Amino acid sequence: MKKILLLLLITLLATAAYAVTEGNQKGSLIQIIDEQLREVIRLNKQTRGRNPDLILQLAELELEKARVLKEVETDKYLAIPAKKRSRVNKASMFKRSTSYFNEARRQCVRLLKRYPNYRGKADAYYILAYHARDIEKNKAKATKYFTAARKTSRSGTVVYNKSTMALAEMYYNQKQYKKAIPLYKSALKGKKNRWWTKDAHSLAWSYFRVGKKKLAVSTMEGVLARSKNKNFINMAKSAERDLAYFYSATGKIAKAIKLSSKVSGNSVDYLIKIGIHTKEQGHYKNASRVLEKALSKGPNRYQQAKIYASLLDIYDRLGFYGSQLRNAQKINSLRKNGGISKEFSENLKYYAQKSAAILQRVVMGKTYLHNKKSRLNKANQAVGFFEVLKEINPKTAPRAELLIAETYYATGRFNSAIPHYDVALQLAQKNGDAKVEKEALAGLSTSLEKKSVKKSLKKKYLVRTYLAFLKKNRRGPEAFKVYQRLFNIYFEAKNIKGAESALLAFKRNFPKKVGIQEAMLGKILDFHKSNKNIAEMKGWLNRINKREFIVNRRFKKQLRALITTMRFETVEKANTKGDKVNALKGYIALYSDPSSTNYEKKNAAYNIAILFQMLGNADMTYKFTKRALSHMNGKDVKKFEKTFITIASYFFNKRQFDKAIDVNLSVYNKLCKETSHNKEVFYRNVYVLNIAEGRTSGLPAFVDGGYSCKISSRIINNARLEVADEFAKNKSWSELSSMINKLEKKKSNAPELIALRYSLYQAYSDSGRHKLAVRQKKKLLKDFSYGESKRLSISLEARDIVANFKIKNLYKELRKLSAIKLRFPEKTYNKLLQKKFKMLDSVTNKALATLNVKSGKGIVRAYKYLVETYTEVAKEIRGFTPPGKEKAYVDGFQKAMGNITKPLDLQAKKFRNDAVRAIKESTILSKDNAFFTAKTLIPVKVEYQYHLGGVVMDRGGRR
Amino acid sequence: MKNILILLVIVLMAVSCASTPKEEKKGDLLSEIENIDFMPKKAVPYVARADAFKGEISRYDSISNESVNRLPQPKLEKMEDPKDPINSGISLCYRGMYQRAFKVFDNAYERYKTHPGYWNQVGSCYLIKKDYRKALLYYNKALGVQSKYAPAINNFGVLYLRQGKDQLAIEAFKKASKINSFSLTPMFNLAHLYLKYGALNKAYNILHVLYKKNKNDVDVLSALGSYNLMLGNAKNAVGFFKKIDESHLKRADIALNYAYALKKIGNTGDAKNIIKNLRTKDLEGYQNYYLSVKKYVEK
Repeated sequence: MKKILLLLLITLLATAAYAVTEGNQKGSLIQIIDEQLREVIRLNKQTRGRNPDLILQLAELELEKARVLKEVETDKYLAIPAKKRSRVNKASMFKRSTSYFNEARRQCVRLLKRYPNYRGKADAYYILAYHARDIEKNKAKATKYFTAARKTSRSGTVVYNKSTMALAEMYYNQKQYKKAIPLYKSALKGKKNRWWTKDAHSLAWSYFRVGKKKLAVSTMEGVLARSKNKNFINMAKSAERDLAYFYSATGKIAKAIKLSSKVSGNSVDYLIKIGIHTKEQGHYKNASRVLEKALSKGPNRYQQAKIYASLLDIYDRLGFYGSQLRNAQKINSLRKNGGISKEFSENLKYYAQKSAAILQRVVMGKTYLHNKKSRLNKANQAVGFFEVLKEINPKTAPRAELLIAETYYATGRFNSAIPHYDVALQLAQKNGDAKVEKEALAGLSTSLEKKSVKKSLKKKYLVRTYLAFLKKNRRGPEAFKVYQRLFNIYFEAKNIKGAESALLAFKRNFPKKVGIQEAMLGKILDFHKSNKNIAEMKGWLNRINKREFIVNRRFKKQLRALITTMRFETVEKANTKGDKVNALKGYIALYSDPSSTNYEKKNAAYNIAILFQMLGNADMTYKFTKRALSHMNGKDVKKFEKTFITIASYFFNKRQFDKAIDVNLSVYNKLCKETSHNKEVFYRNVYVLNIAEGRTSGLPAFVDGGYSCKISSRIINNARLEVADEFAKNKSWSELSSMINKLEKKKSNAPELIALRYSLYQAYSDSGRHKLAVRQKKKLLKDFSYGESKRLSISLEARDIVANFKIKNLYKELRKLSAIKLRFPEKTYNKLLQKKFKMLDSVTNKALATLNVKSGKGIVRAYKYLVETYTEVAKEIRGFTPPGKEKAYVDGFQKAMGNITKPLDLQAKKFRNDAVRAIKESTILSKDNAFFTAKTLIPVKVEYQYHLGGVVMDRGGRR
Repeated sequence: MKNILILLVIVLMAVSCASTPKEEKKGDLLSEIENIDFMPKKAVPYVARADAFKGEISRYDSISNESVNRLPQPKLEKMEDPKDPINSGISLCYRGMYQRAFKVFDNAYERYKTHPGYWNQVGSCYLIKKDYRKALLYYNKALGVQSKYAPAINNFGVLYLRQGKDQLAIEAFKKASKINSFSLTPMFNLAHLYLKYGALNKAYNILHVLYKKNKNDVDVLSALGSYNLMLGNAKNAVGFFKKIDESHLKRADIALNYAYALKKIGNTGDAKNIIKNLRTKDLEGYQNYYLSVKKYVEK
């Protein structure tokens, strides 16, 4: 009876977890237990507690009641709303059941103490084990009691079996599978009850956990097979699942999948479960295969998400980046259709980032450097992940694009990298991501420089890249290069506006790099030149003129010349081809054009002048020569000075002295500060033509001004002499005097000054200013002496002047000589004669000294005076008759005098002959020549003076 | 000499003339101009042999194939020839019609600018006008075109004579004569200068040739008369003077020596008459001699 009751109790306890009881059922059960309790208590009391069987029964019934009560209390507890439940005192809620549990335990403890050798003590240990496990939650204690219950019971008994099973389960739950396995095996031996399937299921798992996979599979197959038997607990569902997993875990995927198809309901879900389960068990590769199979079964969006989510982890763990990428892409497409949760999306992002980072690191690293194919593959995978990432989180798209580009760049695929760099750049600029922008720019710039980059790409991206770069880096060595490259791209693309803007930007940021600016400007101008766009070129020239652009003079000059050349091209073409009329019209139009520059006006006027000169129109030639000169500076004039000589000569040839003088003077003034060989020609022309025109008033100032224009002192001196000569001719005495004062400072002018001083001497003499006259006379004689001493060239005119002064002095002496009249007495006569001869000697010497002046007129006059004087003296002596003397005395006296006069006559004759010789040899032109060459007719000497002076020769005559 | 040097500057200017100016146009310049107007006109070349007066003029006196300086007005008028701007210009200049003369020259400029005779004549026009500075410039211009152009050099001599620089003049005449040994004008001028300065033999040598060439040349006859008078051969002198047409006897240079010679041979009446009729305005530089001769004749 007792055994039957215990068995019933154990059975009740064992099935408690699985029974579904209603409130009244539990109440009835409690009533039954209570009745039995009362009966056992009565019996126990009767035996005064000395019957261990009754104590055991009492403990068993109390235990049973505690269990049933606990179920009731649990129902009540669970009935309380969740919010309230947390505030409820759980101990008080389970107070009643707990008291029965504790009572059952007390009874068992009392029993074991009083009757340690009690044969049914295994049951007591079992109750204690139960209490320790479920109430005390003391696994160690429970294990101890279950072990004791098992040891103290006989094999095959219910307690033994239950304790064994309980121990097995405890070890199983504690993951002590090795300990659990023999217990399970022991418990499942023999007759198989309906719980066999459940326990065998645990045994199968225990096998699986300790690596005995074959045993696990076979055991689970047993569980599955018996689950179909209604006598056993149906564990089919779990068994199928777990078996599929075991198959999966042992590589028997086909079996697992096959098994899944047999499973009733959704095989996809089943596979997913298996997959997930397999994954959880760490069999990632197999899990992936199962899940991939699940994917092929046409999962719905949610199933797909689940599969993909698992696969993310699996592939990540396996390092299957290709699969991971495909998976991520599919998830992403699901995401885009709103098929995944935010959390899942984050998950995807996490794995994508992780994979991309790993792959990129690999690509950038050295590992695959020599395995190009693998490296490219990994790079592509990285790119794929970045593509996914940029879609998942648009905010990180700039970075993702940059990373894509970097990946391409790392594998040398610049053509692929460039568009991504560009997108990264654009997005970064839009999002204000300075860091990415900077990196993208750098990458883009570097990529575009690679040789392998397609022209089309360069064309498409270079400009925007450079612009973006320059936006951030206006100055610095890189910008310096980029401006120039940008300029070249624009220029090569014939985008001149772009090139111009590049130039302007370069100029703004590198104002001192004049050479580069010039080079750029030169290209732009060449372009405009080839397109004959003069307006644009002029625009640039204006900028240069306004100093917006600092270029060197040569460049500016060339540009100006170029513009002018272009503007003048048509006109000059016409001129060259002989269409002078249109050339002239063209030049006039250019000159009249208000927009023409000074340079162009200068050139136009210059050419107009030449053309009018060709036409023989002196007035217009003059007009435009003056205009051209007004536009020219010294250097320009120097350049065209030969033409100006021609033009000035033309006016001279046309006898237009005013114009000739003006042009010569204007050109000279312009050339004043220039180094020019022809400057002196213009200088000389100015004063020579002015003299010819009789305009002498301003000449001294002009001539002296030559010094400030660096005219040679020799030329200036000559000019002064010329002007002084003209002053002398014009009787401009004060001007002449002033000029002489300047000229006398140069001693070598002495010979030329003689005639000039003589003019002044005469003027002073005529006006009664004798002192001044004498002063000039003294100076001119001094000038002559200096000239002679220095053997300077002295003109005949100057010699005649000097000789004339000497002759005048000689003449005075002669008059003194003539004044000495011979008279007697003899002693007086002798004294006077002696005096006369002495004077004659003196006069002779002076006359001969005059000859040294080498003046033809002076020579002839001196000889004439000598001949006349000697003849006269001889005649006077010969003709003197001593007064009051006897004839004999007189005859003797005259005879004696005759001896004296003979030498005088001979000397006179000699002088005459010398004079004639000199006249002939030196072709002396003197009015005194006739004295020696013509017959002396008394009383008048014949003179001849041709009435015309000389005859003009109009033609060369016959030959 | 200094003047010559300076004038050479102008000469150089003229030589360097590269363009070919034409006659001026009138009216609306641009509308009337044609391309042909820019074309250089054909220059009249200088041909030495052709550079002489021809026809009746050339036979007028001993040097009239070279010089028309001594031609009377009617003869000069006949010289005007539109086809020969040089002759026309010469004619006008000697007749004192300078403005017209220069216009003729200017119009002929393009065709004659390389002709030394043209520039010589421009210079002579200024010489006749007594604008000696300009005359000098254009004579130099002529020499710039033809460095050995005897007329220009001779005319330098004339210019010097006008300036009282006889010594320079004689050098110029000699040079002109040397350049063209057949030129008579420089010789003619030399003869008169020699005679003036008493170089009688030198004067005679030239006058003799000129006389042979034209026995009616008044100036040659006068010079030979004076030459003989200077030699004391009054009879021979009268012989030459007698050949001179009466119309020329008013010239002081002829009248004084003719009268002197007549008086010397005793023909006081004719001598007085000649003195009486001479042009006193020609007496510049002759005053003392005139008074002496007159006193002698009237004695």
